[in-house]
Amino acid sequence: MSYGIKLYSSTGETKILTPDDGTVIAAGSLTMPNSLNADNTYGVDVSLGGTYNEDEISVLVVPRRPNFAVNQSRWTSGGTLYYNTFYLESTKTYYTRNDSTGVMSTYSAGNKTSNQKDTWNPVLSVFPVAFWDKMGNTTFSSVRLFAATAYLIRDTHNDTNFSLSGTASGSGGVGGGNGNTVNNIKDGNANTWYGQGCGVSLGNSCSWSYSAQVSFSPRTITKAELYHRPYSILNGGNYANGHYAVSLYYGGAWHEIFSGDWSGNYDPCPTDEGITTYKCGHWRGVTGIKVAAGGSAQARWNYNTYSEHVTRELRAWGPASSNDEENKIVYSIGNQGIETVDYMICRKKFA
Amino acid sequence: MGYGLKVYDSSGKYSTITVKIGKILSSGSLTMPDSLNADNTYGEDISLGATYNEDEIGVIVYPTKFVFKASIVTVGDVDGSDDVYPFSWYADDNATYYTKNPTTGVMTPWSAGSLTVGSSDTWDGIASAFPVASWDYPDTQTTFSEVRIWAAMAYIVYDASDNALKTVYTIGSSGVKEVQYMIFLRGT
Repeated sequence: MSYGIKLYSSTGETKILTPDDGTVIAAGSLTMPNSLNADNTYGVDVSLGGTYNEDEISVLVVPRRPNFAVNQSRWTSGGTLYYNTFYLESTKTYYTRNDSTGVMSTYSAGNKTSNQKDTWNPVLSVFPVAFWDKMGNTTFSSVRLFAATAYLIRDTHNDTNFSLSGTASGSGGVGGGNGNTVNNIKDGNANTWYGQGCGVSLGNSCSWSYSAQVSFSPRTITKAELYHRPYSILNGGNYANGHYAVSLYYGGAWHEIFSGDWSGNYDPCPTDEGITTYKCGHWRGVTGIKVAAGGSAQARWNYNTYSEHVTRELRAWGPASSNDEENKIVYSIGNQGIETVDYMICRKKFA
Repeated sequence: MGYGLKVYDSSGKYSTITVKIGKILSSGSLTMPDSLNADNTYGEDISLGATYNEDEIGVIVYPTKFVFKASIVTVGDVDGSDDVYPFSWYADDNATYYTKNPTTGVMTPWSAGSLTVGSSDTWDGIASAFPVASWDYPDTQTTFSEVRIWAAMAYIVYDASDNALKTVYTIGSSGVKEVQYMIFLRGT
């Protein structure tokens, strides 16, 4: 090297000092604010005393004093096993962040309301972050130091009943309430139905069966649900009974999800409406849901007997959004996130 | 100190510059690639312009833009009720994950289970996820003319089919999209 100042140590080590040697412009600790800036970005600006291109400076930021805000629910299974899920805390303030501009937007955590899935925001992990937030700029007279507690969360959406947009088919049954059509099981109208039954007298017997299904494009199903009316009248007859089963189609076959039997004088919904029977789970690649029911009755002497089953709605619930649509990163700031940071801002060359 | 260069300011304060002064060789932001290199390692190489021993340079890398890939399952029907939502996190079988050999840096695709009912081997739970970034080099390497910047989203998973806890990674636009880094030369 033909330029520079050559420095020696007492042991003979040498160093050629050139304009390419850097300097520390600023360093220290600072307290992070508890609120956003006026432009909805976040962080503290450290003045550089000059204007520099992006490639002329480098910044090191280390978060200190991290805080976090989550809550936890404990679930029991069988009364003896306990497991936990961690959720965002609805009373705390979180933000999402636009990676390109640095603009933060308030994210409202759900308050874990019963039967409202989109109010439950589970947390996968929590960790502190800190970095130079360039906010899309390439020249700088100050450096924006960003720090926050980050949360990888699920922005959970409510499940969708995919039966409503599916195609219904059936056999052996008759429709009621809105024409003789199997579409009644997926029209969103609980007053319409598709089903079958039989009644006899004078010692005669009868039997009946029907099935109905709804087909749709492959979906993940989290709850199979039947809104139906099983019904039988024994009176003084010999027997009156019935059976129903709900199945999902995946992996090239039907798989029974839940079923039920009844007999005798049975009317769980005397107001002539229906009851809801369901099972929760997680079934992938489902393309159909089916109900199959059958029953029989036999009278004795002049005691009439009767058996029937109608399906008012056959519902297949599942998420309509993808993982990428529901996975989110949110942040808490200041005294709910990172209270202080240590930092160093270097200029790569002497001024 | 009997050697060095004293530099004064107008108020009389001074610094003594000696051979121990360091130097920033390279720094800036880096967009991380979406695929592995030809040798199945991962990351971006930053040229140093000369060759240095391992103990002559220092590297600091930290992630600034990142996303994560995960599936979730709500168990439902807890203690006879379906109106609450306990969740469990699982690896997403639509995402591409890798394991990493810590000695060589070679990354190997790892397939997440498909969450199939009745098949316990297909349920790969996630304990935690977080972004990581570092200087990456094989254990056998001791001199460097370039520095490999490595970054990914890390997941602590239970590989059910292998009955083992593992760390797996997603990269680039599926993991850590951007890092900031600083490579500095220590004073001699």
